[in-house]
Amino acid sequence: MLVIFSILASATFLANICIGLTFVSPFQALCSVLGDNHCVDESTRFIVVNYRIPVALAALVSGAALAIGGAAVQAITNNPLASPYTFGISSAAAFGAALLYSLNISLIPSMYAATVNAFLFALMACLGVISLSRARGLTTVGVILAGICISFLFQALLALMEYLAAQDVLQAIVFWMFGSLYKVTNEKLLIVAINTVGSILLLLRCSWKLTAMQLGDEGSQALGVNVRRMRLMVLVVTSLTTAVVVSFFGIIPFVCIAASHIARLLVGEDEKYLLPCSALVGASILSVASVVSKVVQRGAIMPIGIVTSIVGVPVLMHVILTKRGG
Amino acid sequence: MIVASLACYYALIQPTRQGGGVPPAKRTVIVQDFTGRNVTVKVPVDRIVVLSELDELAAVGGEDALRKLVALNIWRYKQWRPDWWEEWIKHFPWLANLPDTGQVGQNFNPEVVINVKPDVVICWPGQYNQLKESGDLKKLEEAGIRVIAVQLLPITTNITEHLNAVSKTVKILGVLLGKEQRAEELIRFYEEQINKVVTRTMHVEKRPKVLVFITSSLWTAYGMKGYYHVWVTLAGGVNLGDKVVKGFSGDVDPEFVINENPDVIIFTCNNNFPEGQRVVVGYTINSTRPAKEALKGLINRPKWEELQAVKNGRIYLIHHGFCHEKIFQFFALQYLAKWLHPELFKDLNPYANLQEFYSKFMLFPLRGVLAVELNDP
Repeated sequence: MLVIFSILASATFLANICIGLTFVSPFQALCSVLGDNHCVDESTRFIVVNYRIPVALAALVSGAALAIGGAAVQAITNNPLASPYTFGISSAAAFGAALLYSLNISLIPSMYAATVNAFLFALMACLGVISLSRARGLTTVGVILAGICISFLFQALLALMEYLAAQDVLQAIVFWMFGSLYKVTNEKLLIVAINTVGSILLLLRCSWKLTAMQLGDEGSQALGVNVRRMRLMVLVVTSLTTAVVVSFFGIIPFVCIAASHIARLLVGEDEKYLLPCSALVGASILSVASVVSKVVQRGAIMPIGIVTSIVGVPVLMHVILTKRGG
Repeated sequence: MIVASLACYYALIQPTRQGGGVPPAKRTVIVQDFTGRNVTVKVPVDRIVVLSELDELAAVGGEDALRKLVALNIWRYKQWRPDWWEEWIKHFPWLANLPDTGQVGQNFNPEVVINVKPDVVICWPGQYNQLKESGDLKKLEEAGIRVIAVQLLPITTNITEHLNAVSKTVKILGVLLGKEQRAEELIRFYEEQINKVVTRTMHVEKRPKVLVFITSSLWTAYGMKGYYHVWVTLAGGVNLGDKVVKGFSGDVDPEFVINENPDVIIFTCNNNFPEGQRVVVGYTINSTRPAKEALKGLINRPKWEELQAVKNGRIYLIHHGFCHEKIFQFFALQYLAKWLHPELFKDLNPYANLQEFYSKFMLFPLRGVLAVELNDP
């Protein structure tokens, strides 16, 4: 299955490079990468190298990052509808950006102030969830409740920023929240890639513990799993990964849930396979969404968050309708 | 006899109790506004609330009209046009003491309006619909308050429709304020300013390709239903955004920009820039430098140095607040015309025309930097 998903991810990645305003053949794409000016004209090479490949890579690594974030959080909360977004990470990141736009407050003044703000506030949301849920002994319910609380807090703060914003700024906040892979830069790609790969490796190392947590706290503790430490570790890792993606690219909903759900249907609950498969499915979903956002109205780009929502909602409905027991 | 003299006494003395001369006699008229409703109202009105047309009220009615304000959507000015508001209260500090109605759709408070007992509330059709949906309209109407919707920039490139909308709006204000003659003057001035452009661009053959970007988002441009579709077309250009963005605005594919190779790129900016509220154009700005710095940053994108617009230095920034739903929006058309057809409009001086407008119709002189080109001619 891993092989099939790898092929799927590669195929969608390639499609994302080839499909766009103009169709670029895989051969031309390869020539562009190799810098061979004989088999591809300069303008095509330029477009592939400067726009197609960076956006396609962004879709790949962000999709993977969001997906494993979803899969891991679902494992520790035993809830297929949970995701890092339910901890308020997306609202907190949006609040961070809005804080800069509305009130010109940047936590670390720099050219990348919006991104830095978004990231730091996303981390604050995670700290909030961790601290609150610790008070309840880091149980499943505790984590979920803490997540809801922090989520509402940052949604309210975001609304306050929007209220205080001037017209242009309001627009800027809304556009920021829409999500766009076109904000990609080489530095961002590197950071997300390192983060994603690091998270997968870390989570894979304790994959059997994550799988064991499906048995519930008592069951998994009987097997020697320190459930509290696992939850803490997963929260920190997934928060970091998701915060990076959200602060760099905005809010891209549903990939977290849709990817792990599809992967779970096909490979089951064993985290050893579920984690990497989710990552590959997530990468594929986001690549497909990126293609769709380019072709719906050629010449214009539909915000990718809207595309993933349209695709993700039916998947979510499927999860809700087929969910068995608690 | 006593009754008759008492009647005369009241008829003569009562009106003059408010100071000044004998006010014009009131008459009842039926006004058809932009929602298609026929609104019966006694004019000239004495108590007015405006939700966004402060400048238009002043342009038509002068300071007299301003003094008839009993409440105002101050929130919108403070939040969304801070430098305009600064200018207004610099000259009319008492405006700041008026009750604030709040912005329709955000924090509009119908009680504020009802408490001040206005004869009429002036707003846009969009705001009218929001009032209707929220149920606030019913409250206002039950209190006997007339709500009249006016519009100055319908999305149409038909010049007759455009001028009709402006004329109708200004006439409505004129009738409400008892300043019909001034309204006619204003309409004539506006039409003259518009005609300065359209009479020449009507026959223009070569139409430059234009992209109009919103500065608050990297790739968002104005489309088919956006204000700049109107201005670019009337100024003798082709709005490239129309091809791919069917709504008001939307993200364009960066490849589209490279492929289309626009001749002119315009950035629209309101009173402030996202990424920290840097004010680059507006009443309070005295130099073109902040705007030019901003533009340099905005055009710094892969391969943009090869675009016609960048190579020829045809990169511009314009204050968005002056370009829509304002009686001085001819400013937008004139600047765009000058940028799109510099040779054809060598003699056109949009800033001077706007200054003339301000000296004739507004209550304070024009100042500030409102439109900037990256490279000075």
